[in-house]
Amino acid sequence: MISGRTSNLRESGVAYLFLAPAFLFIVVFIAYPLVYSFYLTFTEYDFVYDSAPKWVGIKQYVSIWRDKNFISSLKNTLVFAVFYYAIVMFFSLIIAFIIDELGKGQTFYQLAVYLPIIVPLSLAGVMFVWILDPTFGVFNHILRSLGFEALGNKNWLADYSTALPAIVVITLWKYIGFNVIIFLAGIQSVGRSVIEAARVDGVSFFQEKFLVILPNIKIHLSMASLYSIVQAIKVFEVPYVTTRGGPGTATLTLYLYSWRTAFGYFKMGKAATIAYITAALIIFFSFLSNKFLEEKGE
Amino acid sequence: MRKRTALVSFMVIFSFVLFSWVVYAQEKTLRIESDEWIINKFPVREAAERFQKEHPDVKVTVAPKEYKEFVKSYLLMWQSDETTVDLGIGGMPEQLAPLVGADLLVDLASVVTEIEGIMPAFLDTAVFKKGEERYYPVIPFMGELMTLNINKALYADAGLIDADGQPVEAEDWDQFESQLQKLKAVAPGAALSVDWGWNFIFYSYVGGIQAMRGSIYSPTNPQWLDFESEAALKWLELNQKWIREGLAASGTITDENYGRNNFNAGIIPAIYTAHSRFIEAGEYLGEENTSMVSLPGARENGSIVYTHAVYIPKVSPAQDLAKQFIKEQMFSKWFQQWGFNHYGKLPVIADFYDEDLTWYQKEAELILETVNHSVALPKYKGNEMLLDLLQEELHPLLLDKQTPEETLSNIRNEIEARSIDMTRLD
Repeated sequence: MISGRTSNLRESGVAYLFLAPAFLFIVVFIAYPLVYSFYLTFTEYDFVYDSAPKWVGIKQYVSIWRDKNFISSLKNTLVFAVFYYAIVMFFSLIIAFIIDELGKGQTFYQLAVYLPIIVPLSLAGVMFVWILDPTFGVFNHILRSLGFEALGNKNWLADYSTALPAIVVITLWKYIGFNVIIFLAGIQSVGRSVIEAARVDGVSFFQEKFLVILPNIKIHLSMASLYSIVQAIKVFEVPYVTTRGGPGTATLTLYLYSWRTAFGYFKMGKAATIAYITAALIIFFSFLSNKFLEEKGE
Repeated sequence: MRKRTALVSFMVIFSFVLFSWVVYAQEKTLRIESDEWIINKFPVREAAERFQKEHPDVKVTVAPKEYKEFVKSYLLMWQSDETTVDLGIGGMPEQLAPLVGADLLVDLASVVTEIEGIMPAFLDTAVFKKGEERYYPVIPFMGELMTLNINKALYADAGLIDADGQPVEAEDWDQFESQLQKLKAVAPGAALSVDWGWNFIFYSYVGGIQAMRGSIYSPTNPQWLDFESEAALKWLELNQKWIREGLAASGTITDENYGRNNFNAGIIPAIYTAHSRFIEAGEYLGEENTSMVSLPGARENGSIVYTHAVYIPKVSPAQDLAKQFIKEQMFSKWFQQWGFNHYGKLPVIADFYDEDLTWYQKEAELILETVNHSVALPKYKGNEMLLDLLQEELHPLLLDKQTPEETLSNIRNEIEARSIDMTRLD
């Protein structure tokens, strides 16, 4: 009995020993930064001139709503998120269905839609700035040669009405491949027998796709939805590389503003507050998405 | 036998370790980090090799640093008393202000006194104040001048080249505008691009004002940049009008290289930006086809200069070596003229504007003359916030979304509303 208890203790001791590195990693690199940055939201801290953060309670959470740039970046982020999410979910699903229907060359098309993900963003940014250049950009050149003279002289990234849509398009090009691959994996995991049975029952092409396959890939839908929400609200890299938030604040997003506040102005308390509000938005919309998909599944 | 082998092996290993340690202890290392574009446009690696040859006990390493984010990285690193660098090369003094504000840089006043003849306009960019005391935590090693870079071939097509083959300089703003109209008629693109990119917006804004009234400071508050004078209003009105009428392009608003690329491609005949762009363009358009002219008034009132600097962190163990490298290599005639002879970067020492400059001699004279009565930007604690505010307000102005009066009034109001710290660091 005693030797059994000793053996149990020894076993659990060994287990803790093995768990310790992972635990330590989580504490040092995940838990501590999270807790510390949350603490910073209740402080004022100029990283250059202050020796330590100064406790101000909920002041940052109150005063942030009087900041014109925060309101502007919040609005831009939400507009971006709505359009990006709707388009990326719809088109990636359609592209996945099309690729699935192709008999030959599936791998080639999978690779083609996935390829932009591995292109470095700095390169993609420069590439799109050049493509959309008002004078010598390919896009305007095509428009002009098609006879759209007025559109063909537009500066897409420097125009208030088109800068944000341009950012949506560039982000779609960059990230749509991920959703396509998730959907494709889902579509191809649906048993042939289910589809055959539906076909025997006489379903049309579209009914097969949307009424038979779609309900069977709920988990993939949920995963893609979650990924897209995070991607949409965390939008940072594309505006950073292409417009730096301009013209004016037309493409300034929450993460970009948080980054600028932290590493341009060195106002760490305010930057952390913006980051936590962004995180709260992600959690809220992810919860909504899960709830919606759960209800649809029931 | 086995014992003897073991003993001999031990002795060999011990001697090797001892020898390595002694060599290591004697060898001094100087670690240089530089912006990548500076490594490409200045002979930094060659200077390191020269320095090593002249000081065989010193090992010099040169590494590129991340261009935009290095201030943040250095802040974090140096505040933790760590460093991977003994000598930093590159960064404009106002950009380096956070490192100065956090008191992380060595005062280089002694080096400044030892280097003779640094031009006052360039040296002014590096002055900071601690209380009432002026000091130099950075030293400028190259300069740039804001000017109108022009394509002579297109100027000739527009009839704007005089009998001596020199571009005609507009005497006033009406004449300048009529020149733009002539250029527009012959150029494949707009006649002018003013550099409103995020990295030039400050210089372009105050450059026009300096040319018009000989000061960049507010007439009512001499510590503040001018956001209220008639000249400020006129400069904004003109730019808005030129873009509206298609005389000027707005591409630099989001693509900081827009003007430069179109100038190099021979599409836009005039760009208002750093002078070195016309020298760089000589590579593509031919030396005989590019030059510079002053904005109306700039010859008398001067323009804006800016610099890139060198600096030494206080946590560096090789501060003396770094100072020696600065004096012996970076301020040598060879190094200073190399930048001009290859990429048009200005020597900061007046004596180096001599016959050893291998091209653009005539323009070098005009540059030197203009630099001598040009001014540098002030350095504010809230510099970055002011820079972003300028972008936020000037972009809508340039795209005709708000009037010049609204723009200036918004800037003044937002400085207050955002509590932008306008405390001068210089």
